[in-house]
Amino acid sequence: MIQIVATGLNHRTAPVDLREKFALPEESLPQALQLLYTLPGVQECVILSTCNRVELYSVEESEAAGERGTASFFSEYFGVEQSQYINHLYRLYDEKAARHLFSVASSLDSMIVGEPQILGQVKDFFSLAQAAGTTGKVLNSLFARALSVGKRTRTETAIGELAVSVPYAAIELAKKVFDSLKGKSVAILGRGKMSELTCRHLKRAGVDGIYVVNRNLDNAVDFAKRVGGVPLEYKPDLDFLMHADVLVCSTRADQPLVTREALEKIMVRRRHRILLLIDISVPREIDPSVNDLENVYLFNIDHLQNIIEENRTLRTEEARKAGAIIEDELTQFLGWIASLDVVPTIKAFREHLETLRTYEISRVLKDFSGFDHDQRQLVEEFSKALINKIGHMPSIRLKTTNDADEARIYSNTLRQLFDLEDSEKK
Amino acid sequence: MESISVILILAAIGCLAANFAYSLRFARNRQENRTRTGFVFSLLALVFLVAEFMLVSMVARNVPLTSMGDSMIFFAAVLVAVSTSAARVSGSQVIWLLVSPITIALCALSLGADRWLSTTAAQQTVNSTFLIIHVLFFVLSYALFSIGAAFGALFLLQDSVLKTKNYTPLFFKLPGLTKLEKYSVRSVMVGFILLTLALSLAFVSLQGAGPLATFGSKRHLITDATVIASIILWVYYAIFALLRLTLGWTGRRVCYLSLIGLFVVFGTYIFGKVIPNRGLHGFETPTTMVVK
Repeated sequence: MIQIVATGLNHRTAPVDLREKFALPEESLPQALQLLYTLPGVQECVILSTCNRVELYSVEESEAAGERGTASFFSEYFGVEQSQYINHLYRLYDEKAARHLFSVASSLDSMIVGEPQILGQVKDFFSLAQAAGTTGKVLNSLFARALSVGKRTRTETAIGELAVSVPYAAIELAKKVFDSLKGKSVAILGRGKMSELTCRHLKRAGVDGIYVVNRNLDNAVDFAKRVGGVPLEYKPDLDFLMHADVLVCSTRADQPLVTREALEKIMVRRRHRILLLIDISVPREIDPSVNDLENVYLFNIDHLQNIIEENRTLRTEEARKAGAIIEDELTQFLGWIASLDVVPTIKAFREHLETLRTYEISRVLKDFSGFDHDQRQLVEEFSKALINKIGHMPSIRLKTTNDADEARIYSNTLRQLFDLEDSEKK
Repeated sequence: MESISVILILAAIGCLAANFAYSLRFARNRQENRTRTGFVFSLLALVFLVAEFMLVSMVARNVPLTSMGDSMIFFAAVLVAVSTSAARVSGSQVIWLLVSPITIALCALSLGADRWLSTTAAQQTVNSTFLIIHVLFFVLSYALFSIGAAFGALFLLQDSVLKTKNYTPLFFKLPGLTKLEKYSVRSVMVGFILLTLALSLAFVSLQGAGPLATFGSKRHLITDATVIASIILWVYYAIFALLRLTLGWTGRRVCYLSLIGLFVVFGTYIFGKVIPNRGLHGFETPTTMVVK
C-alpha cells in the first residue's frame, strides 16, 4: 500500500549550521529530484528547500524501503554523515505529512508566522518537480490542496496583514498617517542596518523619493548608492525636512539631532504639512516633546514594539482560524486518498461477485434446460440485479469514508471475508 | 396613508439603528473586514426614506419643503445617500457611527413635527424647477457639510490615538489621516459650492421675478429667518474656504472647523425652521394640515 512521507529538518529541529549544509541551489534541484526519484520504493517526490527548511515529500511503497532511501539521499547527495543529522530529522506519514505541508504552505510553520514568501516557494518547488516529472497523481493533488490552503488562510484570515517586525510596523503606522505611501518622500538619518531595512521596505511600499542624511556627506553618498537615494548633509536647521514626509532616525549622537525648536521653525516653513517621525535609535535622537507639535507624529522603538506585540497576539488568534482551514482541507484530502486505497478492493470484490454469479447461473441453467431465451434472460437479469444490490452498500461505504484508517480496516475486512486476495491470485 | 408613512419612517430608523450597531461591532473587532452588511442596511434605510418621500409627493401632492417634518425626512434621505457613497468610496464603515445617530434623530423628530402640509403656495412651488433645484442644492450642501464634519471627527479621533499611542481596534480600522482630511475638506468644499449655487439661484430667480415673485420681494430678505440662517451658514463656510485656500490651514485646524460647522449647519437649519418666516419662505406657514 502506498503512503505519503515527509522527511526533513527545519528551523525548529536543526540549528542553522546544520541547515546550511543541506542548502540546495535551484539549478541543482532537477538532479537532486532525479536521484531521489530513483531510490527504491519512491514513486513520486518533491523537494522543498528554503533558508529555514529542507523537506522531501514522497509517495512510497513501503515504510522500510522509503526510510532507507531518504536516509541515504541526505548523506549521498549532500555528503553529510548520517550521525550528524539523524537526530534532527523528522519523518511524518500520511495524515501527519499532509497536515505538515498544509501548515508550511499557510506559513504556520514559518519562523515568522504569517510571512508571505513561503506560499510562493512551495508553488515554485512543486512546479520544478512537475517539470522534472517526479510527481504523480498523489503529490499533484496534495500540493494543489496545500496551495489552496495557503491561499485560503491569507484571504480568510488576517494572518498576513499584521506587522510583526520593526520595519513593517513603521510602514503600518505610516499608512495610518498617509494612507498610501505612493508619491511620499522619506529622509533617513543614520546608516545602520535597521535604517537600510526600513528604507527598503518603505521603497517597496511605494515611497517615491529617499533622502539619505548624514553628518558626513561621504558616508551619505555610499549609503545613498546602496538604497537608491539622494545624499544630503545633516544640518541642525533640519532643512532636509522641507521635502520629506517621513523621517526615519537610526543613529547615535551625543545630542538629539532633531530638536523641538528647529522642528517648530521647519514646520512653519512646511506650512504645517503632516510629518511622521520614526525614531528607532537608542538612545533616542529626536526630542520627545516634538510629538506635541501640530501635525507632527513621533514614534520611538517602544511605540513600534507595542504594535508588534499586539499584532503577535492577534496572529496567534488568526493562526487558530488557519488551523481550522487546514483540518477542513485535510479531511477532504484524506477522503480522496482513502478512496484511492480502496479502489482495488472494490474492483476485486465486484469481480469476485461476478465470478460467483456466472458460475451459479451456468450451473442453474444447465438443470433447467427447458427454459426459453426470454426466461434465461430474466434469470440473468435477476442475478445481476441481486449482486449489484449486495455489492452496492459495501462499495459506497468504502468510497465515502473520510478516515484513511477506517477505509483500511473496511478494505482488509472485505478482503479477508471474501478471500479476495486468494481469488485475485487464482 | 399616514400610517404607511409612519411605518416607512420607523423601518428606516430600524435599518439605521441596525447599521449603527453593525458599525460599532465592526469598529470593535480588528479582524472584521466585511462591510457589505452595513451597506445593505444603509441602502434599505434609503429605500424606506425615498418611499416615504414619494408617498408624500404623490398622495398629498406636496414637496418636502413646506413643513419641518417632511423637510427633515428629505434631509435624512439625502444624508443617508451621501453617506452611503462616502462610506463606500473612502472605505470608512465607521462613519455610520456618527451619521446614523444624526439621521435617526432627524427621522424621529420628523414624526413629532408638522408633516404633510398642503398649502396653495406649496402647490404652486411644485411647478417651479428653479425652486426644486434651489432646495435640492441646499439639502445636498447640508448633507455634505455633515459628512465633512463626520470625516473631521474621525480625523481628530485618529490624530488623538497617534499622539497618545493608545491604540484601539478602531485605530486600525480607520483610513490614514491624510485621507480623512481630504474627504473632510472635499465634502465641505463641494457643499460650499452647492450652497453658493443654491443662494445664487435664489437671488437670480428673485431678480427675474419668476414664480417666486408671488412669495415676496427683496425687502423680505431681512425678515426671513431661512434667508438669514443661510447667509450665516454661507459666511461660515466662506471663512473655512478662505483659511484653507489662502492661509493653507491643514490637519487638526480644518477638521475642527468642519466639526464646528456641523453645529452651525444644524443651528441655522433649526433657526430657519423654528423662527416663523415673514418673507420669501413665508409659504411654509401651514394653512391646511394633513398630519401632525
